[in-house]
Amino acid sequence: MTALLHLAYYSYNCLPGGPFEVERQIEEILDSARRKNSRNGLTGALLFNRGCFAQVLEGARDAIEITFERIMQDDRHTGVTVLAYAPIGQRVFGHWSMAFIGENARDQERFGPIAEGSGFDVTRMLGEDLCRTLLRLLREEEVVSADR
Amino acid sequence: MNNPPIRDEKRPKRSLAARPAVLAGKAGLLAAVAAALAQEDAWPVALLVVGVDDFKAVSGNLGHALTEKLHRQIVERASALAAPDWQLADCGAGELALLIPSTSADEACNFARHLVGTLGRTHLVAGKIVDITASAGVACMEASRSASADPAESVETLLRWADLALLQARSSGRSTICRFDAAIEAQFDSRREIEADLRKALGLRQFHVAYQPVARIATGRIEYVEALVRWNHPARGPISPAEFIPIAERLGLIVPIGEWVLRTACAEAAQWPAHVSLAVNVSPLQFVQGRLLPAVVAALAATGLEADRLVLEITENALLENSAANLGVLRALRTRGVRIALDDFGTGYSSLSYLRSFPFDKIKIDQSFVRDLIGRHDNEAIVRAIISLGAPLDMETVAEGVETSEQLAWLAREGCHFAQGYCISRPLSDEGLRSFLGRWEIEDMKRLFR
Repeated sequence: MTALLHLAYYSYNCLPGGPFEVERQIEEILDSARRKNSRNGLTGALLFNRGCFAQVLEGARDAIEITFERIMQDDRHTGVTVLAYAPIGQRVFGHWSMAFIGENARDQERFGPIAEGSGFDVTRMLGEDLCRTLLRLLREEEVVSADR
Repeated sequence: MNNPPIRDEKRPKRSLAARPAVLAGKAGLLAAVAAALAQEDAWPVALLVVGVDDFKAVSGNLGHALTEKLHRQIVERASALAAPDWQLADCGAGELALLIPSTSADEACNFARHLVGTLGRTHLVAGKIVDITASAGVACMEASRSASADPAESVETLLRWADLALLQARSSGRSTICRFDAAIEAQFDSRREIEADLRKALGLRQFHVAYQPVARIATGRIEYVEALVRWNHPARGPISPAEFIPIAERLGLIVPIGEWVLRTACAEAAQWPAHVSLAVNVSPLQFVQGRLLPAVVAALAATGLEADRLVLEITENALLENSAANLGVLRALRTRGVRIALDDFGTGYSSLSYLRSFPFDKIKIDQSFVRDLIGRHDNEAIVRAIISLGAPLDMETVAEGVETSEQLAWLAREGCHFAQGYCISRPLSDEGLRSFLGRWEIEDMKRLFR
């Protein structure tokens, strides 16, 4: 069995267009990522709000690196900071999911269903320090970076 | 800029098949540039050279195999951003070139900025997080130019322009882009000529030493003379030390030049009246390889100048790096009777801990404070503070750049020990200095106060 690693990063959202366009792109990202990640044996969660993306990816080294490289070539976000990239004993996530994390009521209404649809389980996020930190970071940056 | 083809309506991303052609190294690039320049509808042609900043340090940290992997990833990332009708040359060592047909310099620069930003994003390489920055140079050749010139020469020119632009970008820091223009070329040409001429200057005996007297303010006596290196370029005339010393330091030429100045000035000083000492500037680079101490000992032995008539002026830079070793050299010099002055005090970092690190004989107050001394409350306060700092530490203070009687009187009142500047004398030739020393009388100094 190949060694298991996890990667966590966050970045600032620069999805172009109005609310509908953003919604469409979010769905598109979800769709494409879910397909590719399940094929590559990657589990984890992509969290987002109007300001930020934060993602945890778990899996084999090459799968993570190929996926991350594709993410780095994507112009729809900026200011990428990797918070962790290290071997882990076991996966925290059972599959790959995506969730809107934020207070903005209208965004909550628009993107909330995505979490349910993707099988996002917040208790998994709360089970680990790194994931808890990501959740906090995302909430704190929601408004700050939406103003950028 | 050519719009990349859109693979599907949903995502404006390029498919793998629609990537730019990858050329076979530099040779492939030369051929491609020649072909693009020969093709009228490809004008104007832009060449973009992008490279990882400080690549040697990156590869030193990563090792060969991972560096190779990183390099391939960089080429891959650049290729993913480029349009399919562009051409890409992998130049190795973290560098690549992109040939962009039918574009403008502005468009190419916009892309360069985007590329530098994307390449500078985090890389994951074989389980490691690798953060690098990249810089880019952009050169654009207009139709008029490519039509008139010899094709082979145009290719060379465009490549050289892009390389110069990258060099220029790197000289202004990391993650920068630079667009070539004629001023950059002129600047590089001039620098290259100066470098080439500087290498020959010592052998061709184009340097000479100028001597500027320094008077003790209280007595009016000339107690020492500072030796200043001068370069008289055969075509350009006198070149300022502020211009050529940094180049000499970068080329490592400062060591032989510094040693030549030391020998020449010591031989001259041995002819002066015994109460007149000599001050010689020492570059931090002269400390390396343990050359300073033997050079000083040899110069004194060869010329017969007494060690206690030599003052070495060092800047704080000599104490920034290898400070422990350099302080050891200074102590050894001092044991032999050579005195040490701290030059340009008040500029740079001017950490007060330098004053504690070594018992300097003199502190030289930088001329930038002295020049606008009178009526400038801030300069007065700074100069006064340096003077009062020196006294209890047994370090005499020297004011550089003293130009007027008014400044001299102010310095006398505040208890500054020495004055150097046009007010006493401008730098003189060796003969000029000897005649000055014969002529100078203490009365001259008194007259200055009137």
